[in-house]
Amino acid sequence: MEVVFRHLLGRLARSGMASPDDVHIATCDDTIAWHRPPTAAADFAQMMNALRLGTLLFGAPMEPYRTLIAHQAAQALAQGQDAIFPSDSETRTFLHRIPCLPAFTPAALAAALANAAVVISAQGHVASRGFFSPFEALVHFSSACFAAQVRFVVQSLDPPSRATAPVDVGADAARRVLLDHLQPLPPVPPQHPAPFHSEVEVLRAIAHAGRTTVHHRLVDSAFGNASLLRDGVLYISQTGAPLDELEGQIDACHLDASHTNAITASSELAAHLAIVQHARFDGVLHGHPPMTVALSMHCDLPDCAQRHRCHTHCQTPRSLNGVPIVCGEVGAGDHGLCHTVPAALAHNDAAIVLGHGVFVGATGDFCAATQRLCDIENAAAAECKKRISRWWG
Amino acid sequence: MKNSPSLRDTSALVHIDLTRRHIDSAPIPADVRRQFLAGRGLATHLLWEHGADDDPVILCPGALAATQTPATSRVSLVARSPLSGGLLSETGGGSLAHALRRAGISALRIFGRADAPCVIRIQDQRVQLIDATDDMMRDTPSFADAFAGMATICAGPAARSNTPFASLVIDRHFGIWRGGAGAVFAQKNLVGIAVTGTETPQPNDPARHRQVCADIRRLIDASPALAGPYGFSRLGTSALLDLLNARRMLPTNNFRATFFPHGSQVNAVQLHRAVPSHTGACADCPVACKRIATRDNRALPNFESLAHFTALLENAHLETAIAADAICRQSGLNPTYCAARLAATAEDEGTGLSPDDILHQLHQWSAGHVDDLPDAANFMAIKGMEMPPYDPRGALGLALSLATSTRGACHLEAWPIATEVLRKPVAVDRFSFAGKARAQRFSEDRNAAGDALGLCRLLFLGPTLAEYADATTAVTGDPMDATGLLHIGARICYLERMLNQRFGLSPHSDTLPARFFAEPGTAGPDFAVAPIDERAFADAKARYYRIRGLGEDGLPTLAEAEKLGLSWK
Repeated sequence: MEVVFRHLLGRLARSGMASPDDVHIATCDDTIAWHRPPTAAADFAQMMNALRLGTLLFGAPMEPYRTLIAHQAAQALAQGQDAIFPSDSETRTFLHRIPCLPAFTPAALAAALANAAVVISAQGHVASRGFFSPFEALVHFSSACFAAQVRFVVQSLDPPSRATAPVDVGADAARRVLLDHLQPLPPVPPQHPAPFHSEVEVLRAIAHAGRTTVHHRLVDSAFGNASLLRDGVLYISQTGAPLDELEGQIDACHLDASHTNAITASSELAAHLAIVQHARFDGVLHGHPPMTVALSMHCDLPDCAQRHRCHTHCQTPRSLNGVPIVCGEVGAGDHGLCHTVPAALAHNDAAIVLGHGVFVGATGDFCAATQRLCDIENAAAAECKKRISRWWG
Repeated sequence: MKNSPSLRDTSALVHIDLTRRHIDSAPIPADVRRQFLAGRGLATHLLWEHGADDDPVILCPGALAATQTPATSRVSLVARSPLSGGLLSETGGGSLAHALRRAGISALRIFGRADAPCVIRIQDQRVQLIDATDDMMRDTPSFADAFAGMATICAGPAARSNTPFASLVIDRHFGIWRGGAGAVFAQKNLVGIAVTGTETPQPNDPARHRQVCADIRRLIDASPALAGPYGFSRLGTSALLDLLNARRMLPTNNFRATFFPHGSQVNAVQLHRAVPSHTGACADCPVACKRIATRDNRALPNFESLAHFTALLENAHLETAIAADAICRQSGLNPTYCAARLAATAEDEGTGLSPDDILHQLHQWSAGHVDDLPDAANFMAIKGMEMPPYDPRGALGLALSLATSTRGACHLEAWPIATEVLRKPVAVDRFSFAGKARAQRFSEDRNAAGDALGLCRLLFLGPTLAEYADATTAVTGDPMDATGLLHIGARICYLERMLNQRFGLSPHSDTLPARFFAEPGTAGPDFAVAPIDERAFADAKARYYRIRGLGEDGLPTLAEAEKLGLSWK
């Protein structure tokens, strides 16, 4: 179990989510093991059994997440709401709502986690659960941090006259913490350059690009995906694979559609296939850079008829620093981004999906694509900083 | 057309005594609904309450049937298994659950034996017993034709010779294939049931229900296995064949290998090139995983049938597999059992099987010639149920769940394929037992709750129990959350073990055929498929028994039963 704990804690730390000393992890098969038992460990264990949990992960995330979460949970509770409803794609699709508690007690957590994957508290803490694997808890923990950050940034992009959330002292403090952490990302490290002479080299290049994307905080947990074409086969990360651990988690998808092995490929396989078949790219890199996602959700048309379904129905041509913003949901449904992103990449090297993330076309290798993704996020972060500073001082 | 304001109190339990040709009905007590919901929960409860005499067969639609909640049209059937002597608990798709709910029926409890072949005909809550005609009994499509416009479930001609591996066919294309349910109908001289209804159940909170259904559909669209370019909605479940082959989990040559070199000749792509087809769906299902041949409106083989009629028999002739599946569907035979018996006999005799051998034997069985069915030493089965086409050496959670399933070699009771192969909701290490006992308990409880709602198992590749708990609340008006559903699921699972104890099915049978502990599977390009470590398996099983609240011997205990609110009389 020590190996599992080390792995999970290492991932939390490397992704800037949480320090090992600030969280508690319990895993359970027939007996419970803690990496660091909390006070009232027995009560938490009882709760895990009652909820059939295999993993419980809770504690304080790193800044700025901790402050942003504390502020939003406290604000929701003060307004008599028991949850926040972020509208980024990750939350809308997988979580729907994030329950809020004043503080985490075993009894309160048991009630909140009975129908939710992750809960936040007014103390800035996050609690998440897994039924099958510790990694499941990590994904939910990370999603809550991401969602809270994006939600707060979106609220802060409006001037005070149009603020949708109460203007209070807590919000000012939270904005200061956010701005302190909005630093430009450094240039990405060199990637494996084309040409690739074997499948092994392709897989290595994809894995390296994935690691870079995670280490630069351009995607969180198990989201994002990457692909590269070679000899009629599109190599693409598997669904739910963390981009910084892609070794052994890349599917080979034959463009002649002769095999169905790629049934476990990323949810965005349909978009990747359309891009490499109909645009001019050899591959795709997809991340969820938070400031770009937040900025894509900000709209200057408060009375727009599509206000609450802009992620699928926005008709207004929009862009960020020349990168088009398109609609679309995860996957290949009627409103799937597979219908919008390939068309956008026919004339651009990148496209932003509203409230979701960025797709960058790769030519030959990921050298330019990783840097492009980084540049898009740096530009978005600078724009967010400028707007927030302008409106809120 | 009638509209019922809520689903809480509307539908009835119908008792049908075939011996006395007597039919009556009663409401479902509120506390029974609370404890067991509907579907598999209610059916299992009714079987337990029926007692040990004159084994009934019970059919129940799920709690969300006919509410337009996505993929909630499974009907549950429970009875005593002709294969194991223990519990038979299966679900089937199509429109039967939908029709039963619209007829205002929550459960059919059928017992006794008719003095002549009969049919139960249901129009709303009017239930009749009618004599079966020769036309109805010719084959399963003929039965569907005789009741055009109605939902149907029927045994075929194969069942009427006491074939223990006879199936039930629903609406021509769907079925309750495994476990011998067709033989249960035959024992009662019951040919089939035809149902139609006109009620339109209305959710208690329509706006909330619409919102939850939209959430569910969004999760379906986000699931590669359900809706991706190679997902079930495009290619049917036969899309699994290539994946299982690549993972070295495709049972080949009667489980003597786990890779079929001719897989690319018989995969989903070839199937759809060979036979142009369109999608078929159970009522209210947006996935539509069934493929229907355009040429003759027959269903094409699902993954389980396709894999066993090809790889298991080392048959690279796709047309033979399609024809074999069609014979089974038409005559009401379980295709996977048939293939497993053929493979075992071939191994026993040290011979191979030609396409003609396969089809000849199936014709014999479909005509009811099973009296001379020899014992097959190498028949790969657990508790009398044939092994499905997923090799347990390639997924150890699967190994544990197959061995300890209450109804035999059932891959769906816990369905670890979702995590160990399809990576949903999260990928786990398939070559490790770590955490698998806990995951199995959770999955079994979740799936039992899903069956109580009428939910298709495949849907857990996208949505979770939480979305369906929200849907249940919106439909019934009674607050429900995922943990509440898990408690109901736990109660169902435990009651099933109590039933097996009553039936005399011992946990000694909670193991795998010896081959899996002794022989390796076929190695992959960069991984081995080792025999299962028997001690690690035993440890995992002991952990599972503890987590499930069973005794060390695997038997249910009075204390745990009481904890779950089950009365053990």
